[in-house]
Amino acid sequence: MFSFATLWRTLFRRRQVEQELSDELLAYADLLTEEKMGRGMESGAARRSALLEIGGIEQVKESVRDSRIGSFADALLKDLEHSLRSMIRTKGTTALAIGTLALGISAATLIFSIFYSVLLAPLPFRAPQHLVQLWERRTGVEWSQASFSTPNFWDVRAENRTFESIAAFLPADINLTGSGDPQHLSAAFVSANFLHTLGLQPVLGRDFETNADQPNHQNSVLLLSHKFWSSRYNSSASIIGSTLHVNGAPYTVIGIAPAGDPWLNEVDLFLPLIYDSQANRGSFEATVIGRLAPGVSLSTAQADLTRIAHNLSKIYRKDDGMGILVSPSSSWGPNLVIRRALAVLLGAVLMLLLIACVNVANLLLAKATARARELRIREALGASHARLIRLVLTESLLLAGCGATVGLFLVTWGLALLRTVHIENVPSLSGLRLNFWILSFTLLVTVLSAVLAGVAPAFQTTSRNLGAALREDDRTQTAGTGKNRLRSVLVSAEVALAMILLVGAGLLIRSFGKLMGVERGFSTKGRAIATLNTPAFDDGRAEHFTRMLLERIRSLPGVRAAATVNSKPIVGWDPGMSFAALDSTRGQEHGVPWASWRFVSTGYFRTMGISLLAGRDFSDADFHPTDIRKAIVSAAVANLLWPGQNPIGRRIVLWKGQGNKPAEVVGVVANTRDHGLDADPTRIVYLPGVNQTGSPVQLIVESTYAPASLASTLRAIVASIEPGIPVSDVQTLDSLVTESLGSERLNLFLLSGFALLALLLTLTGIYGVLAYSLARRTQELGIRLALGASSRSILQLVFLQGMRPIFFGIILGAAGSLALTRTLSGLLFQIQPEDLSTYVGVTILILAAACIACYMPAVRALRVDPVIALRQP
Amino acid sequence: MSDTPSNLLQGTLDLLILKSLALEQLHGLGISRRIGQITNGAFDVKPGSLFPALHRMEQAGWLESSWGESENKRRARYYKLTRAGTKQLGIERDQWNRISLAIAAALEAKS
Repeated sequence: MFSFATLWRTLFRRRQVEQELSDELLAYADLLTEEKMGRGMESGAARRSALLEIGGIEQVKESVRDSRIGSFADALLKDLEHSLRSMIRTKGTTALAIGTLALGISAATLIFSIFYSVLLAPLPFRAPQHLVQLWERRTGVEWSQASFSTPNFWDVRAENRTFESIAAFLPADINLTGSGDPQHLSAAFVSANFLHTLGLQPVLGRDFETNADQPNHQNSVLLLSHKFWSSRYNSSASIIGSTLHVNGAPYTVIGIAPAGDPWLNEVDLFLPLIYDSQANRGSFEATVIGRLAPGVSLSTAQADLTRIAHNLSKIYRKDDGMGILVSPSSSWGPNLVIRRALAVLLGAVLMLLLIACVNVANLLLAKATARARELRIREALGASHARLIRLVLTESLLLAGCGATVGLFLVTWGLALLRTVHIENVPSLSGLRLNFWILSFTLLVTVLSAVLAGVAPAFQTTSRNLGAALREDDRTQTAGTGKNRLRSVLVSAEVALAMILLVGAGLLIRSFGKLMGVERGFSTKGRAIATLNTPAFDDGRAEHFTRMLLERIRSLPGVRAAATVNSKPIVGWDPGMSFAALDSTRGQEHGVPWASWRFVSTGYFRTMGISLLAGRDFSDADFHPTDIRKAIVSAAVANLLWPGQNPIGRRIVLWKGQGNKPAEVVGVVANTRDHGLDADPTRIVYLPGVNQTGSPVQLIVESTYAPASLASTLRAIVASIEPGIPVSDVQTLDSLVTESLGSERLNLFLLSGFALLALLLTLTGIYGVLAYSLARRTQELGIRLALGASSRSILQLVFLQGMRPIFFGIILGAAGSLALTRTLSGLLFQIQPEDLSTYVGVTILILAAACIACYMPAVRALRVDPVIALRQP
Repeated sequence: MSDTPSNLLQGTLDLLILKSLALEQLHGLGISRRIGQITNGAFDVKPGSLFPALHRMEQAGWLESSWGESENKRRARYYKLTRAGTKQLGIERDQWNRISLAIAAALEAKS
């Protein structure tokens, strides 16, 4: 209580406290003088000697103030008050500094919030450290990690001894009918314990009953995903208990699954996966997850699974080296490329923030230089060095605080924007919110910014000798060198940082250009694609449907070609198989090779613009082969199996190890980049066929129609052949390619944006430093002009002075870029991180921009009339 | 903090001030002179250390101050020990004795 009273006195009864201190010290001086006079000194000498002995009354007062309780708070209040006044006095500088810091802090916070939600946020499941994923493997055919077949899942679930529960997730395309146009949805067949295994409850309604995945129980129930529930039913609770028609059969909605990545946001509906002892053991489509029983380690579970795999391969007498692999849930996040891209972006935005700090440091330095005399006088009046440093730091902290406050407004706005963005391959950002960690990050970068921006001015302020500073006049004819050297170093640092960012952005731009220009093997011009989710027809009906469909579309005016394929190019599901030549083991040096397979209609290659290199296209007869199945392979397959030989007429074994289906090669087509433009050309085996897998048919049309008008025409045609088949996702092939480059485009956009901002900030920095130093040299330049210096020589002088730190910066920046752009290597396509033309281009850009930034103040300095300059007070 | 002739050990100044006020109340210069006297001139406390210490100790509640008149009828601020200050003197004296004994023992120890 006592100290509170004192604190109160210190802070709010200041005048009285100060007066008493002053009186006390004067009394002390009087007593000392008297004592000295008592020893026989003359009064004037005694007084002088007394004051000397005390060592400066003001200094003593200051140290008494420092020792008081609450002195820190008192000083802080005074510093704050002083900083505020100083900030208000220089409104322009203050606004510029706050704006710069707000920009830097908000950009850093936004990128960090993405980084956090994608990479750092814990999985939205209960005790995720006990969750694992299970994979099948076949050492016989070199599969190290594959999805599960459903019968193996049921067996593993029944026989394991180390799991609390194991669940399966099997994505499927379904049609929703019974209300308006048929709708194509993505669903997942899940075992009844799926949510339970993840440790989740439905947000509304109830979960599946435990026997919902057993035949002859109540199976006609489903859960809606949170995403589908909110977008389609506006999160209405009345949907529970209603009936939906899935593929024609009625299902009752019993609950709403929670939102979350992975899996929960990927589909629209969850249907029970029904146990079937006769299911195909050669179809590997299920994702299997498990929750380890308490106290079970990963290696114990692995041993248990190996035992089960051993038993299963004995029962089914398969000699293909079946194994089961278990991997921890920590690997469920996004892939390495996205992790790296986000790390690069975070690094880049921190560099941007650093540039912002340097800029603010420069502004504060300019201010501090103008205030040098004021600070000297304060020092002479007894302010300690620590106190002066604190004063300058308080101001930068205040600026950073204001910057962060403004920045947080920008952040909430930016987060709202980001929530609506969907990027291919990046988990949804719809859950992006400010949280404790993100705000902590903001606070951290704010304090760091304040220190970074304030530390140079603070030490500059106190580093020089008191007398020299007091003597130095503000109107000294030539600018002091020491002061400007620090500012030049800061400009060099800015240029270096901006150069690193520009080089990074330049590399991404070049890489993107390469990516767009790469030989795709197919053509997108005038092509559109539509998804037709046909139900599981028998073969005759499917063939009839496809033939009628293609006939009618091809007969439309303006349509040049049309064909179907079983998987969407570039972004779609990519079914694959092992394969080999029938008569040799060539191509198996590194294990049995793997190829994608595609079932295509007639005219597929013409429609896609894939050129036929040898042999022939499929004929109608190939769809009903009398002896052996016919196949067309991509050049990569032909080169692997029969390098330098004619592949036409050769035999190939498809689904090697799974069914060993033979086929005869009748044609070779060009390689296509069907896994995405940045992936190597795909090995593909094309087979004649229609919708044999139950997956949606992809219809490709080359025409003069816009996608929207094509869509309505297609719906009419499809409905006239087979009612109840939804036509969805009608878009141009160009937009499909663009979609597949979503994350590259985002990287490019963000990094280029940061680099441009960095360049802009750097230019204002260069401009500010030069303009300020020239303003202080007006008189000097006036004298030079008056003495006959040509404007040309002055321009040269000023220009060189401005450009020198920029040259240093470029050299530093080039070195920094060489060291740092290595981190980009995984993100670049056919471009080396040391790409010379990028470095040259960036250097030219910086030099050109810097020339403009230096030119403006230089020209302004020249316009000075020497007479006016010399008369300037 | 160099209070010639000898440097004051951290914390010693408080003890000396408390001790110097044990008998009677004194003003600042008086305290300084008394310390010089009782330490046989070993310590000469300058105002730069004395006043911060006095104000700190007053805030800690060990001292009380009031305006009074000096022997020469001059106004001066006088300090005297409070009850807590007397207690603190005892504490600090014990502490000092312990330390000095320990140091003495350490210096005499044969290695």
